[in-house]
Amino acid sequence: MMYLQAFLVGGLLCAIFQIALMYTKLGVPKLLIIGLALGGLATAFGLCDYLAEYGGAGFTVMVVGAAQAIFNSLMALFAGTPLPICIVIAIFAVLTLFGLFAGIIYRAMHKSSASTPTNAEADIR
Amino acid sequence: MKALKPIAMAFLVGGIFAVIGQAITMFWLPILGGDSPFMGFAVLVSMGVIGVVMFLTGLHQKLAPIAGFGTILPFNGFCAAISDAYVSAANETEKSAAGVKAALGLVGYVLGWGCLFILVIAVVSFFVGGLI
Repeated sequence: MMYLQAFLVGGLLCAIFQIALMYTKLGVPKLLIIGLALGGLATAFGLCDYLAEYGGAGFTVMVVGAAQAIFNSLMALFAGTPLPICIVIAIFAVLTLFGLFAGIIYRAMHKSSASTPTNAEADIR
Repeated sequence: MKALKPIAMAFLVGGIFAVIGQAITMFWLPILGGDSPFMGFAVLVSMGVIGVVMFLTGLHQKLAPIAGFGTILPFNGFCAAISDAYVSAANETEKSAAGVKAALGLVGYVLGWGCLFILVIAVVSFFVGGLI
């Protein structure tokens, strides 16, 4: 049952953002910023607690769910507990490094096929 | 009808990642315990590993044009988007430094503005909440 609820909440969030992407001219990065901001706002009004309780990881694994984690850890920081915000910063640092390493390895793996056409083009010019 | 397909795919793929995330949560729960502060770290970094594997195998690149936000909104997509920014900028300029710059630029832009908004909301609600 928890898996079905996660599927529904996660799927609906993605569908809503997909609709916003298709019918506005905002583009992905701006929509992600809006998603974070709306997630923070919804957490402040207590809405995200309901969503996280119902959808479980279907909510917390999404970028909007990250907004809830950032918001809650900021509130904890204001209340004098710095551990949660350190964990959030560590998450983003690790994920950024993961992304960079994946990109570097992927490019090294595909270097011959990816760079040859552009080199050939440059030679012709 | 044509517009319905990417929305349905975003729903489906996003839902599948949500189920994977739920399964990962269920995996870590008995190891870390229910109220561990490191729960989010374990789950999101695990999702990041999935994102890395999907990017390296080329699965992300195949899925992203079909499923749109279904691949971007879950946290594995966060990793893959950074990889994507790196690879396209590095291939374009033939310099990996440009790729690193583009990737960090994307992270800084999204998280910078996103966190700024959340910070403002948090400060306001901290003081409003304190007044009540």
